[in-house]
Parts: sequence; C-alpha cells; structure tokens
Amino acid sequence: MTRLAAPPEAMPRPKKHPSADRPARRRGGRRYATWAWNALAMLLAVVFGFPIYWMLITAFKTSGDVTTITPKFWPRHPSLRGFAEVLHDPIFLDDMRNSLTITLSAVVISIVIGFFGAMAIARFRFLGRKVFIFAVLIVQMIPLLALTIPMSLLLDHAHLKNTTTGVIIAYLVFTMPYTVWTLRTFIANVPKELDEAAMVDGCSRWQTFYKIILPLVAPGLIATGVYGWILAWNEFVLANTLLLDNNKATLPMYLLYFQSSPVHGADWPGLMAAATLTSLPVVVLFVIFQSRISAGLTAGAVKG
Amino acid sequence: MTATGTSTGRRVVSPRIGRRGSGLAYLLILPAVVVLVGVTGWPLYKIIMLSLQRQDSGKFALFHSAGTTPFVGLRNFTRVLSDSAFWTVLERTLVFTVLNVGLSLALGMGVALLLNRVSKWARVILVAVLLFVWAVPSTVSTQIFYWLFSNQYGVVNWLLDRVPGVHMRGHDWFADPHQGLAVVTAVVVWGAVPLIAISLHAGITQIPRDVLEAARVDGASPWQAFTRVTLPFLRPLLIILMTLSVIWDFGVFNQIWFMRNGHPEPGYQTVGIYMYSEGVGSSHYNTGATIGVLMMVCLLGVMVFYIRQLFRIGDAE
Amino acid sequence: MKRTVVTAAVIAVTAVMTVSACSSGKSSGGGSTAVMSTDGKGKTITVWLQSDAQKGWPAVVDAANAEFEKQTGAKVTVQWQQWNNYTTKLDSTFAGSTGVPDVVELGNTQTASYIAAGAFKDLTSGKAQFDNSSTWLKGLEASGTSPDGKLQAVPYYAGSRVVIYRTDMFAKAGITNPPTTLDELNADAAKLKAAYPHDPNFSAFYMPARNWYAAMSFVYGAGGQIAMQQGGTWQGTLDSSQAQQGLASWQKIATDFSVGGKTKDESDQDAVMAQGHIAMILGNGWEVGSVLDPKTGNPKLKSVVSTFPMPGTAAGQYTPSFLGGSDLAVPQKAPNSGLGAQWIKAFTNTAQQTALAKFAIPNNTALLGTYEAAGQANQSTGEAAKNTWFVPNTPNWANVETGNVLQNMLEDIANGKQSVADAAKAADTKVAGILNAKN
Repeated sequence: MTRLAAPPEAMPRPKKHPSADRPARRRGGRRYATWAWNALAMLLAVVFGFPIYWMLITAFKTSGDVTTITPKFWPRHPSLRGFAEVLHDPIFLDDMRNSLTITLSAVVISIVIGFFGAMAIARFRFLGRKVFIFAVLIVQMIPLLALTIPMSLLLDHAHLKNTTTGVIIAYLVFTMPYTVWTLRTFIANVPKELDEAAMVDGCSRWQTFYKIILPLVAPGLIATGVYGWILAWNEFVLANTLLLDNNKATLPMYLLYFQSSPVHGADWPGLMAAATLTSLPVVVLFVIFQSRISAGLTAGAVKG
Repeated sequence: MTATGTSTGRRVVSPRIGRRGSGLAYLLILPAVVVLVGVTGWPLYKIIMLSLQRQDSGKFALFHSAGTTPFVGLRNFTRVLSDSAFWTVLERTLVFTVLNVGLSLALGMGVALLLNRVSKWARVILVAVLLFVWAVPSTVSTQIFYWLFSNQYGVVNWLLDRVPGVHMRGHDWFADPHQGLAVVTAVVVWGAVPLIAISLHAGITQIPRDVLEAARVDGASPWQAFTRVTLPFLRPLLIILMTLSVIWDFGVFNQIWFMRNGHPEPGYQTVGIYMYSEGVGSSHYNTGATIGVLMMVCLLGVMVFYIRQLFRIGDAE
Repeated sequence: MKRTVVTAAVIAVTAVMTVSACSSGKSSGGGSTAVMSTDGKGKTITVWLQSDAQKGWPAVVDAANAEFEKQTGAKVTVQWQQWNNYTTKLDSTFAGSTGVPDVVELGNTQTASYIAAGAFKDLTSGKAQFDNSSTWLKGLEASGTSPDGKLQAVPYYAGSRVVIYRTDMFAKAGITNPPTTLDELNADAAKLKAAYPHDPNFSAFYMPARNWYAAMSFVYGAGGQIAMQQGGTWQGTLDSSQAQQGLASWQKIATDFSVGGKTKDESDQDAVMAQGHIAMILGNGWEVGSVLDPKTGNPKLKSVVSTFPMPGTAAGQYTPSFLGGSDLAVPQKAPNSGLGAQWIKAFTNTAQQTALAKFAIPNNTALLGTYEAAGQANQSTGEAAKNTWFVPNTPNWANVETGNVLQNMLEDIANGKQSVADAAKAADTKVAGILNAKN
C-alpha cells in the first residue's frame, strides 16, 4: 500500500499529468457548453443506470410486482424480505468468503506473475520474446467452454480438483494474460533513462524494478487488478465444474439457487437482492480505488 | 507523443540492455511460462487431440484412454466445415462481432470524451453508474434486459407505446431473431462500455496539454484535433480494447443463452452457442473441440492485422 | 543463458507426459458380490441431489439419512446440485477420479445417455430389495433400464401435468364444471375469451409455444408419437396424420386462446398466471404451489386456483401427460457403491415415498392412492399419472432436447412461419438424424 501511495509527481514528465489540463478547457466562456454536456452526461447516466435501478427496485418488490402489465417504477409495498433472507443466510456469507479467497488470490498472483512477464517483454530483447507474446494472446482466445472439461481433468490428475487452489490456478488462465499485456504497456511508458540512471547510482536491477518501476506503474497494477477481479468474481462455469462441495461454492453459484427449477418457480426479488449484494463489493472496491483507476487504468497504454 | 523526444536515446540503449539482461528476462517470464504451459498447455493439447479423434465408444471413452479412440485426421473438421449451418452461424457471428465491437468502441469513446468535458460532479455520477454496470454479472443483466424488452410486461414496449402514433403493446422482440439479437447487442454494448469508456477517459486525460494547444493554435477544428491528436495518441489503447472486444463478442455466450432461457433458436446461434449445442452440451466433446479450434483459427485470422500492432505496442520503435 | 528456458521446457514436457500417462483411468472396484452393503462404520458417503428436494422435501431426505446411518453406521453428506450446467459437472466428474459421488440424481430424459456410456453400476440383482420395485411407474423404470434390461437407475419421483385453472374466471364465463373432452375445453376457452373482451393480455389458455411437453401430449393424445424404431433405425413420426392432428389441436389453443407466449417456454408460466390475466395453464401439479407462493407468485389467489386432468378426445379419456421425473443411480466409480445403493433403498422405501407423496408423485403405483388423498390437485395429477407418455428411450434422445428440435418446430408453427405439415416433416428429419447418429 505504501508503494501505491507514491506520488505520481515522481514521474519525470510533469506535463503528462492529467488534472492540469482541465482548467484550460474552461477558458473562453465555455460554461454554457459545459452545462449542456453535463445535461447529456446525466441523460446517459439515466439510460445506463436504468437497468441497475430496475435490479435494485426488483430486489425490494414483492413477487407479484416484478412483472406487471403496467410497469411499476417504484415498489408499491417495499419489502426487505429478499435482502434479509440473503444476509441471514449463512451460506451466502460462506460463499462470499470463498469468492473473496479465490478472486483475491487469482488477482494477486496474476499481477505478480504478470508484472514480471511484462517487465521482461517491455525491457528486454530475447530469443522467444515474440513467441511468448503470441502465446499470451492465444491463451485469451481459447473458448472457456471448450476448456472446462480438459481443465477439470488436469486438476483432477494433479489432485487439485474440488479445491480452492485448483480454481485459483484455473482462473489464472484468463486473469494473467490480460495483466501481461496491459502492464507491458505501462512499463514501456516509464522511460528507460530512469532505469539507467538508477543503475548508475548503484541500484541493482531488482532494486530498479522495486524502487523505480513498481511505484510508477502502481495505477496500472490497480487497474488490471480491478479488471481481473470482475472477471474472476463473476465466473460461473469453471467454478461450478471444479468445485463439488457445497461449502466451497462461490457467489455466482449461489445466485442459481434462486432461479426456477422444475419443482419451484424463480424467486426474483431474492435473486436480485443477492445479485445486488454480490455486485456491491466490486463497486465498493472501485470507489476506493477510483481516483487511481482513472489516473491509471491505462496511463501506460497511451504512449504514442 | 511524448515518446518521440526519447526514442532516439532508446534505440541506442535497448540492444545493450538486451544483451546484458536476457538471462534475467527468462527468469522473469518463467512464472508466466509455467502458468501458460502448466495450466493451459495440457488442456489446449487435449482440445486439439479431441478434435482429431473419433468418439465412438460412449461419451467418456475419450477421457479414459487415448488408445481406444482412433485418430481420424481432419475428418471432424471436414464434417463441421461441410455443414452449411456452420457457415451461416459463422457469418452471423462475424456480423454480430463487427456491430458490437464497433458500437461498444464508438459509444465508449463518446462517453470518454464526454467525461472529459463535464463538471466534476457530473463525472463522478456518470463514472459511478458505469462502475456499477461493469460489476453486474452478465447473467443478471441479461435477465433484467429480458424483462425490460418483454412483450407483455416490458418497460420498453410500455414506454414506446406512450409515444403518439406508435403501437408497441404486446410487440414480441424475440419473434424475429434480428430484433432479438438487437436486444442482445444492447446488453453486450451496455456491459462493454464501462471498461472502454473509463479506460479511454483515463487515456485522454494524459494527452499533453501543449499538444492540444498547438493543434488549436494551428487552427484545427475540434474534429481535426480529435482525429489528428487524440486518436493517434489513444491508438495503442484502442488496439488492446478492440482486441479484447473482438475476443469477447466473437465468443459471446451468456447474453444469448440466458436471453433465450437456455434454448436459443437457430436464428440466435453464434459460434459460442453452436459449439455448446453441437459439442459440449450434447457430450460430443470431439465436435465441441473441433469447433473450439475453428473458433481460435477464425479469431487469429480476423486479428492478423491487430496481432502485428500488438507486437509493436510498448516496443521502442 | 538459455538454461532457464530449457529447464522450463523440460518441466513443461514432463508435466504433459505425466498427465497423459495418468489419463488412462483406473477401472474401478473389483468383482463386487452384492449390490448393497450395510458395512459403513467410519465411512461417509456423498449424495448429489437436486435442490428441488432441498426446497420441497428436506425432511424426507433427513429421514432417509437417519435411517441409513442407523442401518450402516456410515455418515451421509448431501451436496445440493442445480440443473444448470449439471451434465458438464457430471461428465467431468465421471471422467476423472476425484469427488465421484456415491449416489447421483438425474433427470429421467438424461439417464439413457449415461447408461449407454457405462457410467452407472448395475443394480439388477438388488432390484427386489428396493421397496415397491414391482409397482414402479413404468415410464420411470424404463428410463433407468438399459436396452438389454439391466436396472441401472432407480425411480425417484415423477410429475405429471394437469390443467391449473381459475375457478372465479370460469364462474364469470358461466362455466360450472371443468371440461371433460377437448371439444368442451375449446368451447369453454372461447366462452372465457368472450367474458374478458377488454383485456388485451387475457389468455383463456396460456400455452407458451416452446413448452414441448405440452404440445407432444396432444400428439400422443391423438394417437401419434415423436419417433419410432423400425429394424434398428429410428424414424421421426411427427408428420403422421395422427401426430399432425394432435399438433393442429395444440396449435388452435396456442394461437386462439394464448397471448404473449409465442417465443417463450413454460419456465415462468406460474409467475405469469399469478398476474391474473390467465384462466388456464397446463402445468405440473406442484406448480399450483408456485402460483400461490408469496416468493414466486400470488398467495391471494389461493381460493380461486384449482386443477383438473387434461381432457382427451372423448369423455372419460385424458390427454396423456408427459411423465417427467428423476432417477437415482450409483456411479461406476463411486468409492462406496454398496453403501450408495443402500442409501437409495432407504430414500425410496415406502415410508419415505409416502412422505414424498405430499409434494410429488411417488415412484410407484401402490402409493398413488396416498398421493391422491393428499390434496385436490393430487387427484388430477394422480389421474394424469395413470396415462402418460415418455420420450423415445434411446441414448441420443438427450441431444434432441439439447438441439431444441421440437421447441423450434413448435415456435415456427405458433408464429405461422411454417405449416404444421412442413414443420413436422423438417423436425422428423432432424430427429431421425440425431437418434441414428453413431456417436
């Protein structure tokens, strides 16, 4: 965390820093235009936010109000039944913990591994470099559905099926490649002169990585982390295939419980309450890191 | 842009670093290589093997032992490729991908530019909404869109019906697959815009002020400033986002699957769905693997151009 | 300098080879003597049941577990499953060796493909030890029996479809008694439609087009069938005149009396009925519960929802109902297969099936009386369970379902994209192609 807190001003190119741009745009009596843009932004927020709003109010509706001939834009008899049931369900909390363990581990591991890999291709020329880049790309293209059963067999042979560790390893397949790609562009954006200078000052290569490059790509680490987080957090098919015990289940598996089955109808308010509570940690995470994300989601990638 | 000033320096520096550190480079990529080979190597190998084998003695025979399942060369491929259904599905998927990637990127870019123009409070609200959109699992968002577009109970029909002269009551969006896929496109684009918009917004904020100022002083119109300064600056980022979008939209599954409640009609089949219903879902794992391999080949074919670009991103020119 | 990469490659290759070498699975358990075993001290068996039981009849499961634990000294862990993605989970588990359960539940239309794959233990020699095995519902028993007559899955429970209707709407339309023939049903539907002229969303008989279980009931009711086997080859028979007649009478209801269901299946029909614009649906007996459940429907309708068996062409006949249900089987690789079979015995014995009869149709005809006595809806479904149809019992059938062949045909008919004759002919070709496929 202390690393992440390193001030961006440490970057040697002060002009690059975004917040400095904005006042300039305000110059020249553009307030009226800004007002119009704000209105457009609010319109977009309403359009994009409407399905979210629908999810939220459905969670508060009673079953009879979920689908009605005249849509109910506000729950007539707001009910906390769905939320109460989910929050009091020990299985929900268990599954939340499982999801947290799996997602956090997969993201942290892929960031560490991805950072090293990205360092290598951004900073070194070596035989097999292109093959490596290509392999990273190819892995992203494997359809996950085709991969599921072979992956399950592989983990079975390695005695990792039906374990949290196994799912974490399987998730690296889709969290790591993106990390390598994206971090590579971040690292490439840190001028090599900095490495050189540090090494002239007597830093070892490792110290250079650690003290110079890592702080500068911290926003990139967060941004790729959030991306991987969302993918892993919402993944269903692999988790459902690899985890056999109920007490190891993750949140997307939990959501299924509310859907209709041959003998029971779907509990939509319950499902939407559970879905809201499932999305919330991600949103909270976003809000915490938001400033860093927008500063850094792709700070490196825009190198011309 | 900023790189231009330093690129000459890099040309001199890079080879030297390269020679001195490539042992270290291998050490650095080692964990990634272990993951790539160890975790995906065997499954990928298995998928390719499955695509070359015949599945003739029960659905699990393939997994028990390679010995009892004879290799049939490319026969699975010729069978899939000679089925006209596959080509129809592939064509539909390509059109779907182009439309969805185009719309996602265009809309994402629009929102990103807008985020750069608005006041702080408006930006915070819009970004918060986008973040929430991003966080909702696609299974849930698809269900919500299904309700919104439902024929009898949908908000969309209800709202459109308020418009004078428009009669949308009871209109069934899913009777015609084109309209149905338009609804699917709405969910896909809705879900894709947050990542693209937030990333591009971050990219735009990093365009050096002096470059834009210079363009303005030179008398460039806002459109010219956009095409000549902003776009080239964002190019590497756009390539990454486009590559990802192509991979996602080409393999789209959840949004169509759940929009059709697990039973997509022929008009809704894209390669992802086709692979499932012909292969994995009906336990024809060899057919499924064959279609999976074909999907990868198609993606590679589509992206040959971008792959070249990808190799370049982050390289010293 | 390149040493690291070479090492990595060696590790990788070794890994691949090790894995390939391991991939020839061990054949499980030696020659077993008895199908069932009661020697379970210190052991724990794993049972995969669908969450239907968790939501519907958890007490039955608990009772069976207690009885089993007393008999054997073994413990039971029930892992609740969801139908979604279930076959992928089963396939990958059966293909591997970790975590293979001792008992699995399967939908009765899925069972045949697993039997053909040799996924289950042969329980034939223990058949007599299962309670009521001589009176098992024929259709359910057939779904668990291999083509050469071996019992590989035990019937668990069944469901049959009846008409769920609104008594108040019938009264408003001036209908005093439920219809007893299809013609009467159509006439009543017309009266209902006339009684609600100002509700554009009103369905006298809500018949979502993609509910193939309902549509095929009309086919079987008219004397037709989906497919038949002749000289070892399957033929689609939907374009026979009887089948077409059945499809036509289904089409009349789906187009004349049903609003808004032309691209939907039956999965949300209970919630839709709870909205109050529907007079009749064709559903499983337990769907009455979903229509009235405060979480999924509308409890206020309790006094005005009732059921009657779907009438047939002549009075006293019923339109055959699809016999849906579940089977229980012991996987070939189950670590405690004898105990697994013993658990199935405890779970399907008379006591447990009697308790289950409050929620679903028990697995045998001997207990149908108990079932029918448990409630009004049960009389209709019990009646319906006596005249049922089942899908062609062949391993490839599951792929007709995965391919949505019948659903697509029905949707085309309901939307007027194809005539009954053309749609039936096209579907026949597809059904035959899938059923006769060699892999």
